[in-house]
Amino acid sequence: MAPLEHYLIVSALLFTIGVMGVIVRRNVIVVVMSIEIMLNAANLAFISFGRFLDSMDGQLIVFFVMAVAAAEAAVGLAIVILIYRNRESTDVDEMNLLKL
Amino acid sequence: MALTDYPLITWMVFLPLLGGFALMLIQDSDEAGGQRVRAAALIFSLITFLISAAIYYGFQADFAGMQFVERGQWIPRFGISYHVGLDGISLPLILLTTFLTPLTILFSWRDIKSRVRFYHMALLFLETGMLGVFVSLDFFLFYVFWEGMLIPMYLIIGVWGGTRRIYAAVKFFLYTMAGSVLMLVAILWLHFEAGTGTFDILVHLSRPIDPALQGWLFAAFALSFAIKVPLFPFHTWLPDAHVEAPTAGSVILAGVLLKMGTYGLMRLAMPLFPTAAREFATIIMVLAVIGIIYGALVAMVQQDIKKLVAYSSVSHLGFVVLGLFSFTLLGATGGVLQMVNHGISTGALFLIVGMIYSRRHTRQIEDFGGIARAMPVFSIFFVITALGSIGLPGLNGFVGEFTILAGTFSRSIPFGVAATSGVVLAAIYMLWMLQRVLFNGEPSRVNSRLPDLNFREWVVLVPLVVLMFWLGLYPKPILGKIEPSAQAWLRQVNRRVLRVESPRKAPLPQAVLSSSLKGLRP
Amino acid sequence: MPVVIPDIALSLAATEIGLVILICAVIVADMFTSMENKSLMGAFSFFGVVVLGFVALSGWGGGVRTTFSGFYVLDNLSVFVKVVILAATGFTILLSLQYAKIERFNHGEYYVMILFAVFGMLVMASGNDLVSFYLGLETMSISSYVLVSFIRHDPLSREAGLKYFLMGAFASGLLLYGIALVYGLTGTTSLLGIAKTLGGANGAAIGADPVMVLALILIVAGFGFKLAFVPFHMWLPDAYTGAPTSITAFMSVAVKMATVAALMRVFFIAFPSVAGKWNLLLWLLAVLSMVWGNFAAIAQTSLKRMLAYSSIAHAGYVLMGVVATSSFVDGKVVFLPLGVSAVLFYLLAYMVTNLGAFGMLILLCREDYRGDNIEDWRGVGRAHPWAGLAFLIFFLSLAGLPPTAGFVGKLFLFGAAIQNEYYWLAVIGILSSAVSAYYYFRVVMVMYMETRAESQPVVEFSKAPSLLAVLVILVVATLFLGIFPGGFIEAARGSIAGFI
Repeated sequence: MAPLEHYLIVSALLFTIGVMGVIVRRNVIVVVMSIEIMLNAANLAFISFGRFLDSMDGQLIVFFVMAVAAAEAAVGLAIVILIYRNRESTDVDEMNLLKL
Repeated sequence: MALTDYPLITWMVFLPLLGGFALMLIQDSDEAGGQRVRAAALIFSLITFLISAAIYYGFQADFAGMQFVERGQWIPRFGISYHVGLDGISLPLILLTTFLTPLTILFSWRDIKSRVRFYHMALLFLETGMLGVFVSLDFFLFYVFWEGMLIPMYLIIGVWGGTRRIYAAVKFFLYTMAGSVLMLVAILWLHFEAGTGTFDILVHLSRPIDPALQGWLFAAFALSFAIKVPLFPFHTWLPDAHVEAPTAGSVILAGVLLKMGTYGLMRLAMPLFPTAAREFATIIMVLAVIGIIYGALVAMVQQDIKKLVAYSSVSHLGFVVLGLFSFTLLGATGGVLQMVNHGISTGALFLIVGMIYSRRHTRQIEDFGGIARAMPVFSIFFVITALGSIGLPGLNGFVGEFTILAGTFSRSIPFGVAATSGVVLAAIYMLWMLQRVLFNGEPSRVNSRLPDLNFREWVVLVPLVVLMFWLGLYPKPILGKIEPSAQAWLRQVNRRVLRVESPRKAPLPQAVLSSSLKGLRP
Repeated sequence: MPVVIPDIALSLAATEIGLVILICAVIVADMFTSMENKSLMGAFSFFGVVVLGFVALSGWGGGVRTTFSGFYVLDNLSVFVKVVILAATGFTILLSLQYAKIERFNHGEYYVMILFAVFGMLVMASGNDLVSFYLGLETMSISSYVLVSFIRHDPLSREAGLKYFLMGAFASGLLLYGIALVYGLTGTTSLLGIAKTLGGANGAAIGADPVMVLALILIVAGFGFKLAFVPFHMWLPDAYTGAPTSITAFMSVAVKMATVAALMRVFFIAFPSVAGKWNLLLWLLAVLSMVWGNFAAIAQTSLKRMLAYSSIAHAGYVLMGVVATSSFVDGKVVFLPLGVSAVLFYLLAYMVTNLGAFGMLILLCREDYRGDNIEDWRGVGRAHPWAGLAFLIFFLSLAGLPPTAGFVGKLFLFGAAIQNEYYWLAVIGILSSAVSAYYYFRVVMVMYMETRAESQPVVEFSKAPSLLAVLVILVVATLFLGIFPGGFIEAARGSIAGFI
């Protein structure tokens, strides 16, 4: 079996990719996807920790997180569609009605 | 039953507040309603004055401690209590407050035409705030009144003031606010860190505070009060506020609000931190002397009478501070007396300027000249008041300034000499102004038609002038009431505190780690 | 092996269970209500919330009780927080009744989403495990995303919803990863379990692990985003400005209350042994929030946006109380009750004040006129003395001037900081609060000292009795908490029983 470090490195890489995606990408859909990647990175960490700690908790938590992620995506995409219908754009840089 | 058994102070302090709320019930939409509002406000302030007179009557002159003390729990968890009382230092200032308020209401009878009810509410709330500051013996209570009085004054300047009223109001507000928040930090330190767990001022006055820490605490308190006085580099809000405020606002501001600074120095900053007060004394005396001379010089070149009077306040209050920091009995007694004197003379001067402004709608000295012919009675009042402000023997200003100078000379001759030059300068700018406004040739056509004082103005000015003569010729009753307290105060500020054991806060409750872990989870 | 049915004391979670029943009832009732009568759903929710408030209150004084295998705790702290949250909810619903019609979002779902958010908050208040916190937080946040973008026909509201959603989801990702790392290091997500491990034999080694530091930073950042501490605040002004005013009010008090309660529980219960690390981070966030929040607010022309920035500063004051709870004696941390009770009292004071301030904005709101710019309040104090006085009292309280709730709250926050010798924190905080007086009083100035321009529409206040009643209650409460705070201070103090 691969040692814990390998899983964690993958998880950390995923997390970093997610964070970078949120920060640098301008398309709302891609940003939402990046957030999902962050959540999945955490999921991977939970599962691998649980496996190596020999406890079920980690895997249980993942179920909760998946449910949360689904709810979040549903609401988030609904808001994105609401805006797209009016604006025909999903670029966050164009969301600038609320500025000082 | 003796007078002291009644909660007179509470009645006196909160009656104006009550009156302010009562005014809400009166409609001021028409002229008759406005008259009713004015009359009601006048009645409330007169009753307040009568209560303070009763306090004066029941005050025991030979007793130096707090009298008419009332005390009750308020927020016991933090040692906050409703604790009020007065002594010979606060008594004259209380009388000054209750005396000036009805006069200002009377004066602004025709002056204030818009939002009459709102104006009188602000004035009455202000009176409660001022009286509260003078009687509070609990820091929490003190601070509530201290800050609470800021809002009505801010509104009085900002709503009914002159052309630059908003600028003046904001400046006044920010200066005072900035000073008082640092005082709050020091108060909190006294409460939480000094280990007393109480906000009671008397308790704190009786406890010595480590001299090593006194410097910071004194600075925090003194800054707040120095802004209010105002001491020399912090005075720039004052001319704006005075000039822009409506006459009644200027009278209250000069007559009472400025005294809060000197009163605070005297009641709190100096006796709480005597060592630091002595260390800072030279610096503060230098600032006071600079204020005396600078204020007088700037007053001399003013074209606007009201501004001249405003700058003369900077000069006069410098005398008070000088007297306090001379650490002599004469200085302290004179300081208290001079606070009252300044309140009366400068209050009267602002009223007089207001009277002439309401006739002529200008305050520029050059617009006048020779109006003594047109308004002889007015001119007599003006001259007497100005002479009282200068400190002519026989009038009130003389007694205060003389005792302060005597106290200062006994401590330091250079300071005494410098301060005396301030008296000379005061004579110059006042008399020169009088000459240019009242005498100097023939009155112009407009000025020659100015009506002399009407009945209401007589009523406003006569009591002030009577007081000026009374305090100038026979100051003994009031001095006799001040002196025992001043002596006690002097003992307090002269006590030497050596090292105090480092203050430790109340024993810490034992800790989270053990208690939260215990027995909750398997 | 016999099957053991776990002993779950459902009665402890009576408030939450009752709330779920209420939510279901409102959803069902909503189906049978015509579009014109949706306000009935608001009234229905309001009465439900009032009842639940009393249910929550009945848990007071019962000591520390846990259920759901330690996921859920009922103690005085959670009761205090829940009652305040439910009170805020009740006020918000009353504020919304008329406003929802004016802004044309009067749907039954509006009240349902508010109740869902409240459910999340209640779970957070009672969370005794990082996972239950996370779930409560997400329930609250996801409902809030919907609420912020609830005025669907308003582009501002939609955009605010999107910004809030992106930042909120990002923050929850950070928080979750932090939780995952803590789980990996300590082998548990239970707060007490984490504290036990960190305080145990290997605790020092785990505490010093850089991964632990990373985990703490992630958790602090997650909370920082949710509570909008500077520099994690950039979403807040936009979200608060675009959201329906009633929701802005609701978020600024209820979300804050729940999240701060959760933050205190997580840091004080789970991580006392590494307090030195997180305390420094929080210190920094507190200072930045107080200073930047207040200075940025000065430049605003929109009153709503100014109040949004001021809420950042207020979050900073609250965080100051959290920071000031820890006292370090000989390298060991000791938590003093004054800090926590000051935080709780301040949040209560802020609840009545800020709801009132936003309520004033709603009061001025009409179909064709939002009235959330400072200019819109020109001369209002002159023409409408009562409304002016009410707003003045709310501003006094926000600026921390006596005799109002905000003054007493700030007094004890600063007192806590001074008691634990955080002098710089107290001085920075108090100076920045003097700055805040400037911009609050700018509105007072506009209200009283300037005259209304000819071009401006005549002031016409809403006459909805529910709105007026709430505002009167809030004004009275603001003054009452400022003059007779004794009982509430005792309650805040009592809520620490079993906590610290």
